[in-house]
Amino acid sequence: MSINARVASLAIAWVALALGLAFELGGAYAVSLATEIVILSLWAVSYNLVYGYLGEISFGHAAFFGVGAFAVPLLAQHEWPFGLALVGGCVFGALFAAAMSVILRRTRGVYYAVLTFVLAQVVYVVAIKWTDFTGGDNGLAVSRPAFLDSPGHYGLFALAIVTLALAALHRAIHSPAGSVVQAIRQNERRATQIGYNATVYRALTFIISGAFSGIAGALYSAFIRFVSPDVLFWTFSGQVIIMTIMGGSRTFYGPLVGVALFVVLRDLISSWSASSAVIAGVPVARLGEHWPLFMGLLFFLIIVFEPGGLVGIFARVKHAWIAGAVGARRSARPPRTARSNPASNLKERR
Amino acid sequence: MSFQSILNQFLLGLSTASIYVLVSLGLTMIFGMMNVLNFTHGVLYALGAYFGYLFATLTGNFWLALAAAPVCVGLIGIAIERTAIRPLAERSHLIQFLATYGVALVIEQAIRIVAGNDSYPVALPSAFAGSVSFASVAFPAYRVFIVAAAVLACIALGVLLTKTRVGAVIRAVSEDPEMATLLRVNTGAVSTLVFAGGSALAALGGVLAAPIFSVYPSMGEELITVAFLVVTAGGLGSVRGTILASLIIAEAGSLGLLAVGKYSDVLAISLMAAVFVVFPAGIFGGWRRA
Repeated sequence: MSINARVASLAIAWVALALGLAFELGGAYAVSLATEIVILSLWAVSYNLVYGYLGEISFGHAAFFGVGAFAVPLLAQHEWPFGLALVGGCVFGALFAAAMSVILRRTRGVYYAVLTFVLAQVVYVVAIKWTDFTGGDNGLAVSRPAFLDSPGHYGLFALAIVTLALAALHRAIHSPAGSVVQAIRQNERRATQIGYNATVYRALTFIISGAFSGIAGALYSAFIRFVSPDVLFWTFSGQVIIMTIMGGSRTFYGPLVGVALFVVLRDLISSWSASSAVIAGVPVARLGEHWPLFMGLLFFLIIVFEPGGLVGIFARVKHAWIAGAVGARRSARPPRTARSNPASNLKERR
Repeated sequence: MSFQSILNQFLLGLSTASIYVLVSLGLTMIFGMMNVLNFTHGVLYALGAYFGYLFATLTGNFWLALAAAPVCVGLIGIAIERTAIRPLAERSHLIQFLATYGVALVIEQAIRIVAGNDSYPVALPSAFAGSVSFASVAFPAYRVFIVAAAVLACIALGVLLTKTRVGAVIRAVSEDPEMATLLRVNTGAVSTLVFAGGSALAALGGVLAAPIFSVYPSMGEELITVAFLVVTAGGLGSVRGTILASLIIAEAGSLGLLAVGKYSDVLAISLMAAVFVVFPAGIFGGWRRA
């Protein structure tokens, strides 16, 4: 597919999605599924800023998503309009990420993963204990302005915001500063010696990622009209990691594929609960609620066999197909990947 | 706030710290050996508790359960090492970390499928059902036993690692695997052994915790938070750091209950976060870049 054909097909898919949301085609269930995919896409792509482009594992992105989600009801209590509450979610996410990146400034590799995990748990524990402020386990109800009350309108609104945000992220990644971040991933020492302040670029990447995660969280809590500290728990951070890696962390749009797969698969497996089939003595209905089992298995298999995720599998299949069409003479060429060396995505730093 | 209540909370904290120490030591041992942070450690702890419950109810003998559950979980640990760690040896340690996360998800759901979402109570072993008095404070004997068991396990581990030939081989492989291979040490087998041992320690913690906290499916995902906190705050791979951090977090949670009430968890976890501000690589991790 040439670049123009790709842009055209993306545009057609986007317009189809927008029209489908606007007129609530496919019923309430399809609209809700599409809205969730749209919102989580923003989260996964902003997560991938840290995982794919900076090359660090953050296990604490639920914190930014969660504070963004809490921003909407908390600011609404102070009579803030919904639009400003979204901005508030963005600011909250950025502030928490900034605070974290101060602590993370010297941290790399495994320590980075665990420290983000631990710091996000601090936020979770505070949220669950501070019941006057966050509602504790009961959570808080979230309301939407009247003109966004219908699911279709809200989906369209979310799509518009997410599109703008993705455009901004795309622009940021393909800016000179984005190239510096990728240079830091490949060789931090070299980037530093060329004269780039790696600490600042790393922190900036983390803060931008946190800010956009905050927007996604704010959109999410208004989408499900409810927020509880569960969105801050580490298992929620785990979900964004699974989505991003399953889709493919080496391309900008890879995480989108992962989100769609994750959400659809989760709902599909959950729907087994209504099934009456029995496989090997185990009623399928009992497996429905255990969808993380299948997600964990799929995630594990992808990590082991195709670190490029679904996008990597597509690329391989496409290559094999083209090679088959062109002839056996060229098929010896290795499959093309988005970046030269798969192992360089995550460096060993010890 | 009386002296008695402070002493009581301190002793309670000490017994909680003992469980943390046992579980975290396994985690830090595995990390020190293969540089992999093992995400399955929490579910291995839970598995230990479930096996403990199973054996204790089947045989009616807690001591048998205490011995058998770590063996079973050690075998599961070997299976995990062979599927999630060994095949990825050529890849980044962070990839292995993520792979163990996938395995942890699978095991946790497998537990839920087999045992359901209910919690199961485990009876105290009859020998330690009573209480012991310390300075006019009546304290459950079983918690004293936990502290003693943890101290004993630490000493045994210390002796194993520093005084025996097996320990020398383990330390050699952990410090310089290539040199150890040249000296005809089977590094793969040693890694598997250490992974099994670390898993067994997690299970031991699980069985010991079962009579106090009972057995429930999310116990693993709760404990992994503490275990990660403890091993990183102590400095990854540092045994004395692990013990110190376990004591700090457990006592802050327990003694803090007297000072700040329900916010004691917040106090404990904030204290740990403060440790990272001062020591980014943990208390005994020095200033090195991890």
